[in-house]
Amino acid sequence: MTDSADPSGEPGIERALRRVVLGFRVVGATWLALLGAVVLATTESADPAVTLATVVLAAGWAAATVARGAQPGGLRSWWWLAADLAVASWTIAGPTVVAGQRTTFFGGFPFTAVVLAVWARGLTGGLIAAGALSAATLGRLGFVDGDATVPVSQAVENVVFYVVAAAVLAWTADVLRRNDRLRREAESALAQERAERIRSQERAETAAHLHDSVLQTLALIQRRTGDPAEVTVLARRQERELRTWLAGGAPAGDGGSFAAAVASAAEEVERLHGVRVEVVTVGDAPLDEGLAALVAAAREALVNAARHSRVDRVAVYAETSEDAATVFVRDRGVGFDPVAVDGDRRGIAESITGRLRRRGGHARVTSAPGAGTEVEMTVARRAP
Amino acid sequence: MRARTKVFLVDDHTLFRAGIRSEIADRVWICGEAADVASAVEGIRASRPEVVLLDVHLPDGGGRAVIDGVRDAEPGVRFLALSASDAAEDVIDIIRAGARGYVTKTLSADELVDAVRRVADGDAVFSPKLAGFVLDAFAAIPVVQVDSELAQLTAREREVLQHVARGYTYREISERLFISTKTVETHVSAVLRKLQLTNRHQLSRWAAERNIT
Repeated sequence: MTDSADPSGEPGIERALRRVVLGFRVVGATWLALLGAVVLATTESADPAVTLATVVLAAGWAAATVARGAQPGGLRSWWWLAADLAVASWTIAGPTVVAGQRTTFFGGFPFTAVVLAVWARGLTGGLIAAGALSAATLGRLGFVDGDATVPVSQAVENVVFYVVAAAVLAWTADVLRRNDRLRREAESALAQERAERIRSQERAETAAHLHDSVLQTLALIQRRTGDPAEVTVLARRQERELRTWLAGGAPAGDGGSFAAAVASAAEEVERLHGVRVEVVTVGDAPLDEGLAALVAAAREALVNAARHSRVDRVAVYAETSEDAATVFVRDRGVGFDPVAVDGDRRGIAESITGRLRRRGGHARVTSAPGAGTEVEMTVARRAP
Repeated sequence: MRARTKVFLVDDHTLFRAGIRSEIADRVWICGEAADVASAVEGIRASRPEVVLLDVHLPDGGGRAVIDGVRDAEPGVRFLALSASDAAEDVIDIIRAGARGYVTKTLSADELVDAVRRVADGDAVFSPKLAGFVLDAFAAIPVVQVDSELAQLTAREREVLQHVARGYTYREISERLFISTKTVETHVSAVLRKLQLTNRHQLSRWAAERNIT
């Protein structure tokens, strides 16, 4: 269907046939003009004014046909066909009726009217055209002076030609149109089949993926119903994996962007420590050394929260702007007194702050017993 | 003890509707449910709930089509969007259509009931995720293009949103910033209004850029 219609909705075959019709018309008018010139030069009995007028009329009408034929439906109306036949009939009979001219010079022009009528209105149109032109051909004989034997045999020849041409052309156009329709139907069936094949392939891939991931997880969950924490972790992990897959992205953890690295660190901590980590990121940037250090520090803070807060939920907020990147890791757990921390926790805090300081960043821990903990970590970004 | 909030449930997943119903039906009054846009619009108009729990993704036009179909006839109905999807453009779109908040489907039953009540009271419900999306959206509008203050957040609004994104409740934010809870709500509502009134063109640019990167 892609190649067969233009924006106006006209099938390609109709456009091609229309071009053929217009081509015939131009050739027919040229033919008539040449014969007209020959008649003017060689036949003394010819009336110069009427001959010239007929040539101009045929040429002008051919130009009008081409102009109007530029739009798809322009040539198909009955009144246009009537006008077309009137002009064609004039080229046959006009010079004889008006000036008694014996020699004709219409050449191929009337035939192009049959072509146009067949194209526009099928066999009916073609036969009407053949009838009108035959009437003009035979009617003309009444105005021929002197011996009419030769003109009569010519006229009968022409009449037979018009009728046979109408029938043959109608049959040809019909065959062409039917073949085109069959071709388009075959193409669309093929395209449909191809689309169907692609769809079923996708379905198979989807089924395979769901089987490897979701169904496996569901099976695991059914076997571990006794351990709600484990079930939650399994469900969360599967959710993340499915989301990544639905988003069409690569599995998390392939580096690349800062936001992806934060999400991947969160997922890892979730998996290892059985806590739920909610991640919100604003902005993103390619991972450089400073941002990688920030992700590593945030991961430490997450592990801290998972091990010491005694709650099962941690919130991560990561924001990237043009001159800095900041990560907040926050829990609503037991909290602690930052002034009186034990050695273990001081060590971890050092690994966070030390890591960031080496990259020109800093960390701040806000906590109080019973009030949860928030770690804010920032690194400056170098202008790219 | 307040009267139970009248809630209408719109989600195309039967299983999810049943789950929500069993979790919160004892604390809110679920007056009806629907699985598609047409029956949702009809049901909401007939039952006039206080709050509609609205799935962002529905067949035949999504949650947005439900809001568009109800808003003029029943301006008193409030919408709380919920979704399993985290596609920022979809969420921002439904907020711009008039939803008073957005929560993810992983929210606990208690939090959901709380969010429903807050929406019924006329507050905006910003989950951390939504706050993140909104900050992202406004950050992407270039300052030079800003023709009115509508397209930019004030420093205070930004600060409040950042705290929401970091997981703080309105009450905690008010304590940290030394302002009243009411003021926090006012800031959040102002952000919501700006989001709805901001030039569509600027936000579509943001959405397009998100899709590219």
